[in-house]
Amino acid sequence: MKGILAAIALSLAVTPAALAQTKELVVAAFGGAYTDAIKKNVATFEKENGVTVTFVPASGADGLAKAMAREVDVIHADMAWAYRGEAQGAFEKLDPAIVTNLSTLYPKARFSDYGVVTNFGQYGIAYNPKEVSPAPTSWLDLWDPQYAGAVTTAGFDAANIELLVLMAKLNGGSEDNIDPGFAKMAELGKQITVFYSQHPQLLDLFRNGEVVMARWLRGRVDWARKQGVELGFAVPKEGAIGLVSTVHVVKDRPNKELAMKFVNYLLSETSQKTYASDLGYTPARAGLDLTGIDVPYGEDVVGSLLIADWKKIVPQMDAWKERWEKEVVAR
Amino acid sequence: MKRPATILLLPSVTILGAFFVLPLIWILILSFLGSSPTGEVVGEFTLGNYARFLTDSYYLTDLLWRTIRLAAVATLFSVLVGYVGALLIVRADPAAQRWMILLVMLPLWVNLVVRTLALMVVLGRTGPLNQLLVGLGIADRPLQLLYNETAVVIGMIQVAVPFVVMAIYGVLQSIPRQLEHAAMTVGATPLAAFRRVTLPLSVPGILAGSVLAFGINIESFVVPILLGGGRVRFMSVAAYETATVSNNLPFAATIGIILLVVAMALLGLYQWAVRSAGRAAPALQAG
Repeated sequence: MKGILAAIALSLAVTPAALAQTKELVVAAFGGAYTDAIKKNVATFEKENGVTVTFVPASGADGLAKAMAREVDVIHADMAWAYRGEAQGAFEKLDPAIVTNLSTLYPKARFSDYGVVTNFGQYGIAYNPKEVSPAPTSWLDLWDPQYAGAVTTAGFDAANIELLVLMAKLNGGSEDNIDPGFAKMAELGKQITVFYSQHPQLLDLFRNGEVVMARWLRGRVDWARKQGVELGFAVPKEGAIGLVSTVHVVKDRPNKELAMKFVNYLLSETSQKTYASDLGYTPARAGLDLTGIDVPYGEDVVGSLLIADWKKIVPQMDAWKERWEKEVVAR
Repeated sequence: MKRPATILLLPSVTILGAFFVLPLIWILILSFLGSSPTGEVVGEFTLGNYARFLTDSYYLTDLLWRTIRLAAVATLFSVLVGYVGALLIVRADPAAQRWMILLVMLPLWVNLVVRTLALMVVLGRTGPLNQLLVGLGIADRPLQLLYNETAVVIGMIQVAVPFVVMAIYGVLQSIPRQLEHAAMTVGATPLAAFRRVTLPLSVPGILAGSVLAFGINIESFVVPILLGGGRVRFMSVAAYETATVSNNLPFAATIGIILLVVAMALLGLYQWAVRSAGRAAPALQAG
């Protein structure tokens, strides 16, 4: 059904002149503002390569399913889905001869041969400066009994998996020995009244004073301030937790080279700057001039981000999710 | 079977078959397959998914039992609220009835997420309900009405009531008012007339309404996510997260199949119980 609709939409959109030579590249992205930012300069790429780029909103399970069905040429993902896709043989190896911009990236961006990080977000601690003093300096401040009941974090998402691994590492464990991490997170679970599921919900919790401290994304804290909620943002001394957007070329699709070129376009100076200016994310490319853009940037910023070894985490996620529900969420 | 009937049935059978029965069969098959650590479905028959669910008290009590319990409580209240509503509508004059029915249907035209978000405003710390409670001196400070089981039950009642009203309204309308009047002429109080005449006759409506409400509530998804504050675990949400976070599709399918089978079994049992109680009741009254 979707295929038919898409075909009708396409046949209506393609003009006879374009029909003669235009190739199509289908890109799955996160949608909304994210897709808008990628789209911003895509006309140049389309003209240079004689291609039409179509964006479909898909990520996570949906994105990988589309990749496995060979319905898209390029997909966006996060670390978990990146390694799942790699293990399931969904992606091509990126060719450094075509994706020449690979050499300009910070080392953290090149986590695998089968994909690349295009930009980073920072998770830190958002806090109400009237209620929390002194300002938090460590992730462990979320455990402060003084604020029990008024702290929050999300459910079992990527950033909480990073926090879990960090707690394991701080207590003698690692990705391979997660028990100390769960013991610590279980303590945090007891101090949490509500696990937030959407950003507007957390904004409301801060606004009503139900929450005074939370694990949150830097860009979202800026957004909350614009909504009139006074919030501080602290980067803990252990490091901010990295939110990553990865990009991958899907295997066995007709326009492999074009797809590689598109990845290269995402890593170009223009696109990388747009991630910072339009989305507030830290570019993965080194050596950019970001004067006038209020985004943390540089070797130190990217280098200090907490990003665990997801190749080890992915096979354990089913079991960890179950443990999270039993040990952290359950009272 | 006559030919025209068969032809007329064809579109609905095709649509249901292709988009409902076939996927459901696939889900059933999937629930008996394994999953690799990185999420590929392994094509070997296994009972492991069912064993994982049925031997773990977390899945049985925290997930399955909670889902059944909350859905049942919400159904009970939906039927109480819905019955009163339907009775009021039936007893109103015909012109008003049309408007009242429209009002009952109105929420169904609004997206469920929007309706639930509106409920979050109503139940919130600074929401109208808390302001009323504090204003009337019933509570001395705003109560935690959101993000717990009660909030989820209230959300489910809100979803189910219109369906219950419609189901009961239809049946109440078909009961002649004269029956109650006749009971009262032979000495029944209005309450007794309702209890002994109207209520037993409206059992089919209650049955239909409660089956609808339970069916809707037990598969609730948006409501527990938004109103449960991450702590009120629900079968449908667990199935979704098992697929999208844990990436274990066969186990997600298993959760779905168990929910389906349990819901159908409970509804079957319930209908059987109400029917047999209905058959027994007249005999008791005669005796």
